[in-house]
Amino acid sequence: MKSSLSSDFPMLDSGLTYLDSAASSLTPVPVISAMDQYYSTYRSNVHRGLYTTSETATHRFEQARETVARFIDASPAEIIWTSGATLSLNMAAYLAAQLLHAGDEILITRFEHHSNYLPWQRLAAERGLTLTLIDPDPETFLINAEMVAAAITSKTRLIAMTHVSNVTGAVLPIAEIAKLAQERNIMTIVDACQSVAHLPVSFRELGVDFFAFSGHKMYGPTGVGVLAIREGLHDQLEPWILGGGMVDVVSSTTSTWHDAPSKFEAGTPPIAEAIGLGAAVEWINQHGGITKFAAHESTLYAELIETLQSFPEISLVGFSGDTRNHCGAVSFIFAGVHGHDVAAILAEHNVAARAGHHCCQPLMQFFHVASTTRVSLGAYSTSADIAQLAKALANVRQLQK
Amino acid sequence: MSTHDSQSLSLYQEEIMEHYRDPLHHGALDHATIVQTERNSSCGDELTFYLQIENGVVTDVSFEGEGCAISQATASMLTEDLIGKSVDTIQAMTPDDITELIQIPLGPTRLKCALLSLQAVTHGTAEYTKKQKES
Repeated sequence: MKSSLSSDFPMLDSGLTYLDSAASSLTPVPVISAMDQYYSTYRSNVHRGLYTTSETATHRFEQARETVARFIDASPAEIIWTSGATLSLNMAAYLAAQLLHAGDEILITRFEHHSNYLPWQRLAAERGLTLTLIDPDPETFLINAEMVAAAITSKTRLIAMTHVSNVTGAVLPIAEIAKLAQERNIMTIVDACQSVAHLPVSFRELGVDFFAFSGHKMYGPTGVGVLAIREGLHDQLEPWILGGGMVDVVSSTTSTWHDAPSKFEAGTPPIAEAIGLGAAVEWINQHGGITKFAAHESTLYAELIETLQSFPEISLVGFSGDTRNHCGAVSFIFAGVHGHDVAAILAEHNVAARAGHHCCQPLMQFFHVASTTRVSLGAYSTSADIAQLAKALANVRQLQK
Repeated sequence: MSTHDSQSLSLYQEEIMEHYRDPLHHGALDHATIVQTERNSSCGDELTFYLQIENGVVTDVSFEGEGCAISQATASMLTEDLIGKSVDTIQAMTPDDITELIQIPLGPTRLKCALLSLQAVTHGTAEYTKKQKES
């Protein structure tokens, strides 16, 4: 049976079984229309244009910021538009670095995507900081607050962590960890790419300092993302990128900046994409919000795990044993068949899945595997998708040696 | 929901599967003239080719390493093709030679799997030629 949402997704018309939402979600028609409308009826640069279309563009662009701010329970000034989570996380590293000193320690988790790993690795090398990895529990494959507390030392100044693993779907207790961090005056950076479209989040209640996510993993377009920066930090941070739109006064030798968010957004922003992302949030809200999506996906996730476990050839990678600890994505190995071959057989059955290291080589090393096959869910996923996956997986057996 | 059973295993045709299950010239080659390892960074696969060269011509060949069916089958098919070929000929081989050899339609992602063998033998022979010229 098709999802009631599927009519909003032209990509699903061909009967595609799309199980790769952790890489990128599909885009509903209202998002495409909102961007089309910008390009065809009020295409102008934002801010300072004294004509109608520029004023409309500015209004819709700032409206999108307010919509996204409400969505994650942040203030509009805390929403910094970026090109995507990779830029958000690199920017967070640059900004946070201003508050770090040689000898300080950065804690990151083994779950991190390369985009929340490499910026810290380089920063540590350049600035004489210590980078410490927190490994998942060897039995549950989870990271809890006690494990983070145990890893914190007197030198720890920053914790960078994912909200949900893009490989195993493991959910980290961010609010608990942020509380520990606040008590010790430690900064927190969260990669929320795999959570914002799957779990209700409140930036305010999580209590973190930086919060990064991409538009294209939450039903929005590519080319836009957000770095939410806690308001209390704004005045302590110098902008990373300099240019137009962020300046208060430029004299021949010194300059002063606008307040946030403009201060952190030099250059023409991704206007159509931000408007598209605002439309994506409106679309989510119109369909019951993330709470409803989360409930639907959690039922399907249990079904997905049960289906995968019904194959004796399949070993789940990093599954804790309880679906309540996970959301969105699951990784597995099919005995005797290379991940690329598994994904290729799935593709031949019109099932889109992904094989490889998922930009998480340190986590692959922890699991002692070169790669895994990953399937992941979106709001439009259905039991029929899982049935089609099962059918395709049965055909993978033909590749066993 | 459309299904594609009729096209099932289209990449995995009989010949590919035979080479994958029972590869030719598999394992290390003692006293090889050329030993070249290549890595596919997107999946971590590694493939090593061993070539025995006499008078500028391949007299024996083998390969080893882990990989998907396409990379393993291509390596196996290539070993047969290489025996009797000159170092210069191998060095000049192109991706077209590989697609002609394996006779299956590959998308850009899977083509990389197939081309890992080509990289190993072209890089290995190029390195060999360079050293010959230097000595």
